[in-house]
Amino acid sequence: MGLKFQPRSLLTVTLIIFFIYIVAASWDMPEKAKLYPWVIGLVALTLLVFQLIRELLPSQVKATPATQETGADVDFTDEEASAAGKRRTLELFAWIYGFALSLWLLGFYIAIPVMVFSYLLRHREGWIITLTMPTVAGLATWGLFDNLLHLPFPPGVLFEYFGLVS
Amino acid sequence: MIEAAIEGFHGIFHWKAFLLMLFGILISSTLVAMPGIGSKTAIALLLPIAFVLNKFEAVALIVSIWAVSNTANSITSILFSVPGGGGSQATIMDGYPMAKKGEAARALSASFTSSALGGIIGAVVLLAAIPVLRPLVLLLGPPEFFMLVMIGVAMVGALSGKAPLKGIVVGAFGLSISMIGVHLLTGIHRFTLDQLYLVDGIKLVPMTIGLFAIPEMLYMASKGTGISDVPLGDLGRGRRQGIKDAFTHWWLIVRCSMIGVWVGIIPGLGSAVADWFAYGHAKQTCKGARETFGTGDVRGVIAVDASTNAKEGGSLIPTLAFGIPGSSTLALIFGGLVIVGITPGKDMLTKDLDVTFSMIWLLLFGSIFTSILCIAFTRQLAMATKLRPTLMIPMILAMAVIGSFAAAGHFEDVLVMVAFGTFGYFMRSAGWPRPPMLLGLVLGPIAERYMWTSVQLYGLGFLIRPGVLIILALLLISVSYPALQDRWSRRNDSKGEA
Repeated sequence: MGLKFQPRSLLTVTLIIFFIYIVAASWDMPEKAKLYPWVIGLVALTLLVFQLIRELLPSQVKATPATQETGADVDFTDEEASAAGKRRTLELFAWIYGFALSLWLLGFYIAIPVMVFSYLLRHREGWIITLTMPTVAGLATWGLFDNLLHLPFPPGVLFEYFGLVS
Repeated sequence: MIEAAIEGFHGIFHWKAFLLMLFGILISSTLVAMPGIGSKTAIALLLPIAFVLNKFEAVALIVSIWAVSNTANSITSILFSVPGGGGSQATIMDGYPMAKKGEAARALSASFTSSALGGIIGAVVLLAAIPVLRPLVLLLGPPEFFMLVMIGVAMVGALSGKAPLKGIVVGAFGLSISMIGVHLLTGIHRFTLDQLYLVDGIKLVPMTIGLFAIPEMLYMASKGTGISDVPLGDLGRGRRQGIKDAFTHWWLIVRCSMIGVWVGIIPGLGSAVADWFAYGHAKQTCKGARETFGTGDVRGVIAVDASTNAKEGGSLIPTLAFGIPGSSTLALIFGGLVIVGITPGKDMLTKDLDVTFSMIWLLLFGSIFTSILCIAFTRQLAMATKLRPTLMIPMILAMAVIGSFAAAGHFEDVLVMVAFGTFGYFMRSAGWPRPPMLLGLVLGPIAERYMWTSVQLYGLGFLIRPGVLIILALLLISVSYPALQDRWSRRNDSKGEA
């Protein structure tokens, strides 16, 4: 009976590594601090090893297709597993990471309207919407969160680098 | 006592206090409903106004924001899978699938109605509890509290559907995430990787937004259609059906409200625990729930919203009796009370009993007013599910980053949200449940504190205290009930086939 490694088992392996770290890193801590991580870590490691063995067994490999349901929790649909679905997912990941980078570089006041504008432009929305929504987003960020709630948004690092903010 | 009740009633229904209550409700139903902006932010901002108000006016303004925040928090949970606050995470489980199926109006009105009923039950229980408050809470010590927390962790199994082992591991992962930061008992830094940001630990809000909003956005993008790609149907009918659903399942509302009240009584446990407890209870006890929960079962919405609103009544019990704030928001409300010359604690059960009653009336009437307001605008809220994803995604993404950042004002929280969003996507694709992680993060510090105190006080002997054994029996029933229920239903099915 051979064992087969599936890509989805990578998550199980990642969690095993995480819990090994939890147990190992708490090794030299005082008893008060290490008791709880040890209890949780060792129980989780035992269960994860069991889970990994289950995933590697050929009978389990066959029984894990993508589901058709669309519940809010574990169901992964065939649409998402398709090539087109994966391409769209990858594109949105690029948007999310690009947006996080632009927040860091440009700050919230600029990055939020720019992201909304470019996303709408990329998806060929009408000009009225493409111009209105970023304006509303920008005004809400500035008016509601900054002026009313006094949420201190940090300036972008580019502005700090070029000395444009005090 | 009756005189104090009447005086409290008159106090908050004086025109000025009444208008301040309506203002508080409006703030709570709009601003506080936005992800990342909790009632704490709103109360903190309005607290200085209390200096120019009398005690009833101050209570009307501050308490109304807090008392009804859970009702409106469900709006974004149901429509966008973005929890509006800590107590509306479990609402996503069935509320969002209902919205996807074109039943947003039904889900919203069921949520608002059950929320109102939960609030009323919470207020009534608080009213009845006043004479028996002190002996009730003094019966329990740290070992019993620890076991109560473990019941919460045991619910993880019930929340994990067909993957209980994965559910427990994810719950343990959440417990481990909660260990990151300064260890309060020793002061040492645990698992911080020498990063200053991690000293404060991983925050609940960015993690929740990441785990739920990002994977749902990815799902929406990969599908290429809005939240709901089926017709909304008759919205008026959906609204009526939702209200009817709440009254049809009145016994579920009563049970879950009691769970909410009990969670509220235990200091430190908040709405973020009450919702999962109620959801787990409903999933274990409702007929056919193990198959239908998570796919858009209205009972999942009703159970959660009744409990989170009822919890507020319960959380006032230790607050009023012992001066122990049941949550960090109540600690802020303490500040408001002190400003107008009221000392929280036993005074509130003696010389300031009228103020206590005014808070109870606020819980009662605030819940009703908020639900009426929200039900009146269900149509407008439900229409949002028909928006194209190209319009929804940038707005949700903007809300997600602002919500993550607003919680503590750290840019790193945005990165945490993105990281957990990515992790949540891979969890979904590999069939790992996400909710137990949140439960672990919420319960982790409380469980550790109670466990250590119990070990210090009684050694391992704390495990054989009568209260602990009773709770342990409840815990075992709670864990084994779903498996037994499965076995019984299979046996019944096979008998039926024969």
